[in-house]
Amino acid sequence: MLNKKTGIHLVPLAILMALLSFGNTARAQSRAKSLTLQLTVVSDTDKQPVAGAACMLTDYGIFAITDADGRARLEKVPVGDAALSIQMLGFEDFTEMFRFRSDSTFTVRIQESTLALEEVVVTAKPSAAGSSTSSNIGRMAIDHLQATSLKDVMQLIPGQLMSSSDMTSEAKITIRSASDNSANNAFGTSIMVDGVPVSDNTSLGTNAGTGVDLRQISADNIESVEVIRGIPSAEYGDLTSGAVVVNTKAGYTPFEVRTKLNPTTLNTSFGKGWKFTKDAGSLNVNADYARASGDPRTKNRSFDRISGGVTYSNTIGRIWSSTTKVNFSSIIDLRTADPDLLVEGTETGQKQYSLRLSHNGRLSLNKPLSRSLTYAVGLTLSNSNSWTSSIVSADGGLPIITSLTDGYYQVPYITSSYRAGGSTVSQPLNFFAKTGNVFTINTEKVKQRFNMGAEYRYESNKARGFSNDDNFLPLRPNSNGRPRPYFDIPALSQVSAYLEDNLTWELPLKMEFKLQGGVRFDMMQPGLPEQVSAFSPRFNGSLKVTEWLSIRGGWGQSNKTPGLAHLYPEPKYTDREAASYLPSDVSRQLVVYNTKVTEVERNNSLKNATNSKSEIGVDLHFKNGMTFSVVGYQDYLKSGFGNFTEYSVYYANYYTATQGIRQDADGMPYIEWNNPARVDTVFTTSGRIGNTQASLNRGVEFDFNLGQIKAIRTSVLLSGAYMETQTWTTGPNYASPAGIPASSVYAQGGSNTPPFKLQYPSGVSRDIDRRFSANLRLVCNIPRMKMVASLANQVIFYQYRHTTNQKSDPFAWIDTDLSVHDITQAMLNDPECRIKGILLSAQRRNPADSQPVTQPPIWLMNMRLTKDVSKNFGFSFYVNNAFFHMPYQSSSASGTLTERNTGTFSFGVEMYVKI
Amino acid sequence: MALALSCTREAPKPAAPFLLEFRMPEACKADAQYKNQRVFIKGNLSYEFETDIAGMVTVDGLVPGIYDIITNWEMSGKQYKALLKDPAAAVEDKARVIVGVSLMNQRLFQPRDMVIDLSAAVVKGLMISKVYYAGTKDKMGRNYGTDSYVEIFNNSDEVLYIDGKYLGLAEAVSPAAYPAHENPDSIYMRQICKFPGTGNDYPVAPGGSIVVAAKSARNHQESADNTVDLSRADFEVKVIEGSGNPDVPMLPIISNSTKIQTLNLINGGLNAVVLFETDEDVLSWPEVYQRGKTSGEMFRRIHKSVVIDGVECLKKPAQTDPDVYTKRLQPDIDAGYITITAVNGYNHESVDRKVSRYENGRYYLTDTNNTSADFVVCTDPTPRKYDKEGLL
Repeated sequence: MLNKKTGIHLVPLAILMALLSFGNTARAQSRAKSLTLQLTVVSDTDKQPVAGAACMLTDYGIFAITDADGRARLEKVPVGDAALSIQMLGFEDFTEMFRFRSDSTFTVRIQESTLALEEVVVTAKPSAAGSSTSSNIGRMAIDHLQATSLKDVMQLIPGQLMSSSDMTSEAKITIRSASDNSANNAFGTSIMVDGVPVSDNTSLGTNAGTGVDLRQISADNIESVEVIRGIPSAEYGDLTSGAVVVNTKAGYTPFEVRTKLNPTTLNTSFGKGWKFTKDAGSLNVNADYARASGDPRTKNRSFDRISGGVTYSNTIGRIWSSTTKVNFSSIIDLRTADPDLLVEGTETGQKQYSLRLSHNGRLSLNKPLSRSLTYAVGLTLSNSNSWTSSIVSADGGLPIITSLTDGYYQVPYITSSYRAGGSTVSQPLNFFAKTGNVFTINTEKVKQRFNMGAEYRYESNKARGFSNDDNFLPLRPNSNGRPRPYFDIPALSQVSAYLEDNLTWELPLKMEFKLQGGVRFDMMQPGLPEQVSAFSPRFNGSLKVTEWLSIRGGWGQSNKTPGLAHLYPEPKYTDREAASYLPSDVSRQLVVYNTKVTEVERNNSLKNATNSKSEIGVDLHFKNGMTFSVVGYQDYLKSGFGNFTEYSVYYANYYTATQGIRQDADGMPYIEWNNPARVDTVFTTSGRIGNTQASLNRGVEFDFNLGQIKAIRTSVLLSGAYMETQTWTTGPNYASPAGIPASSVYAQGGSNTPPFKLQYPSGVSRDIDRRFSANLRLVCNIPRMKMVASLANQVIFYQYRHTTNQKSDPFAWIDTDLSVHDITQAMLNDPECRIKGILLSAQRRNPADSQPVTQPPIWLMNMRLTKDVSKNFGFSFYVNNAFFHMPYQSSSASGTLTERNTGTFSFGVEMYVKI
Repeated sequence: MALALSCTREAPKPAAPFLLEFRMPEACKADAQYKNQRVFIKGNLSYEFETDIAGMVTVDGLVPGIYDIITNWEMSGKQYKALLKDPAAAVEDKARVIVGVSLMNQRLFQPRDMVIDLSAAVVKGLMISKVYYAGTKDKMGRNYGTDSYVEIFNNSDEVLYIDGKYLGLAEAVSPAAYPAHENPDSIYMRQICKFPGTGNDYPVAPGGSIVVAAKSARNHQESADNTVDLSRADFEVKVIEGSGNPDVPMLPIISNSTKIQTLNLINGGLNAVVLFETDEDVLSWPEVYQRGKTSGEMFRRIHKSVVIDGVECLKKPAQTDPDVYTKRLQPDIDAGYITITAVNGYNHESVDRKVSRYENGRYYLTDTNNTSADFVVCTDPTPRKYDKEGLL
């Protein structure tokens, strides 16, 4: 966004005059002529040159970094209009349109980020037209929010609800989802830190494939965050719902210590950046410690985070600038037993260490087919150990089944509860490399910037996996508690390439058309049986109709490759009692179990999760500074990851004291294997994951900046969204028939031995969530007092939840030999039709339709204040739910009054010292 | 019955005398009167009155409040037959018959003349004498719930046979699917077990009992301290003969609303346990879903006339009294109810029938078809033990 008030001061003024008067003649001279611009960047405060500032002409892919004297040289600049942007740590971003007609030398003043600025931005800024719909959140907004982790800043996104940060539970983010059932949405949100993804692809175990836990990313070291919720550029891959692009601090910063305190969290950080002498680059060091506990009344939950990093940046020969980072983070997450409830004795904990190395750079080659070349390399090594210790309840008798192969096994039969422990060790390794190239082709009316690149990822998790402290006393002595080492699980490798054209076309009547069109190709596990690949075309277009009106629209597909947990699911163990001979004399007891292991084969036909996004919007920019933007969107994720039911059938024997269990001469029992009392035909499923979860997100987002009321120095911002999320299952929908007689052999075998399975239509039952929320933010800024106060009023006008539950009839039945038989309408119409003795008419589902549940409107008001006391010291203060508004309300479905806004009341303070 | 009393919040008026008239069951002759019987009016204060020869009681000096009105006239089958219009009615001379009523929670704030209909119940020999469903804590302090059992007692003076009788549990979903106040004639069962035998295989001696291990017939005392030894139970509910404890015969579940293969006594309640007998094929009786549903559990309907005995164990809510509207058994089967003191159980509380008298070396148990009056909660569950202090 252009910022007229704080904008540029051209020095000397004569140059500006020259530029403007040059206009027409320059165009006539030469279309192909290219210019050289010499910039000097100085600080507006003390007029000192600013070294290390990035000066960019984004449209042309031209960039330069200022040297120690604040000078930068932009070469081969085409004649014409272009936006110059300058970014520097600790300074406000500068962006301004220029008309370049001849070689010129000028000075740009940029402003230090301080609350003494005329206008400070403590909210999210919407993106410019012609690119992805996104929100940009700067350092001041993060400070003002007193965010402790990346999750906290998400509440500035239109439609997202305000929340209090609780660091004792996992923080995962979703984009444009109104539903709680959002594992696929969170897994499909790409988190990029300094150009390198933070990946959840290698997670395994119970909570795998549900997105990155953002608590590991400290907020204090973040310089800016961009949340892309629309159609992302083809540059971003391995995602469905959107991307969160994080830039951390690099370069010179003053020594800074920040401490946040609230009843549940203590967070301290320090950072310092040094600028070395000429050409030796700069170094930035930061460290952060956070400790959080849950509810202060029950201090049995805690979270500790220690993180730190060193960043070195340098520019060599004016054309090669690079940043190298080493980051370390350690998380300890504990849930201990309530000391008052010693007998329950369950403790869980997690320790995670990670080391991130990243190096990225940019070469300003300024060649016709390579204006600038970018690259990034990242390596993340983590080690996580999560453990549980608990007293396993024997409840009268517990078989300890530990077999890892098929067969009948005599198992220990334990009648006393015991203490057991188990732990899961993961060692994810993520390697990422990317190169990109930008070049431009410009004609008089049409400017094109081509952006292309290739990526390679290698991700593995070779570790001990889940194991019990004592294999004879397992933590989960049942089907899902077998040890699972990760050493044999293959690594993921992924190659990607993208090509994108950013086109700007000047139309008559001062209209302008912008198009970002690109395609991306991703391939995972190339050459392996489970290879998956996808093309993702993406388009964003905008038409500037007049100076104040532009229309935008877009369509695109994005693909999320499956993770390790999806491609290589754990083998499924089915354990069935085969004999239970429990006379009072314990020494003569005999318990036998049959174990069946079902593995998912490698060639597992799993596809990418594909999301199709489309959106259309209008942006209004008025001269008085008011902006209005409205975007309607639809995201259709047709192939999210979920369980896939498939049956195999096997026979399992059952032996009883009357048939099959014999006694030897000493009275000890043994099994006569070929004389079972009963043979069960067992339907068993595998642990296969398929593309069986679909979701549809649609809605309207709005973001209005109503400008500043000058008299009270207060800006008014209104944002919000009406959103709807539908989720349903597309995988095959099987069920056992109802009405199996209790005394029949089918019922005696338990729930997995029906005479047949029925297949019902999929996806008839959908979860529908709708929400209309708006957030009115009043930001009062008094530069002379160096103070910003904000009031955020969130109202959820409408909240709706419905699970549709429609009539459905079975259309096929699967016999015990897995043969599939159709069920015809004639069979359904016959009230006496029976399949293997089971009445078909009892299998027709005609459920009473469930009623939608709506909640009455509810408001929430959060207040924040940030003040710089002096140049070196300042503080922030916040109160969430300032009026302690926690009314008892009842939903449309129930008369029961329930307290709402619970857990929203919190307060805290942050202090910082800068030297 | 007229329940025209209005509920007012004004200060109670001074107690004034009023009349209670007790009417004999319809099957009785017109001149049969409920004469000279004791009537208990129990609340925070308890009163005892006696009916006159016309079956009337003048209640005087009652402090206004909420009261239960309880009265019972126990007589022999011979005596009862003499009162009936039809002298050929199928009542054995030796049987015990109780004519009486239990009116719970009567709001006696104002004088109110009432006409109360009495009902007659033929006391059968077999009755449920103990239901232990709470479970306990094991030696590691974890919940232990497989030690539950039901005991059936022979209260008569002759040998009876359990052969072919049925033991069942009424549905216990919440909210109640088929509560008694909406279903005056039928009980809807989630599980029905049928005792084996052809008529003379499983005798129960007078004063003797049958112990049914609901989940596991083992000596649970090996695992927990406050529990029971069921290794000598008479039956074990299991899915196939020869599994579990091979020395304890199987009590098969013939009708089941779930796939649970043991007698599913719920540790916190509600357990409405019913003993019944019929010559009909139980499996031919209808099975129904919850009202308004077409999936989930299906409950089998039985007519209350087949019931020999029923015990209503309601769930104890956390903060209030049990909700009598969740009762699944009609007042003539069980006019009252009982609860354990813990919401979720696991406090080794057992529900035991009280002893009425000890005679000729054996116990006779109380049976007024009112669990509130007949049962007590004990903390020492023990099968076949009736000489406990709390039961006397």
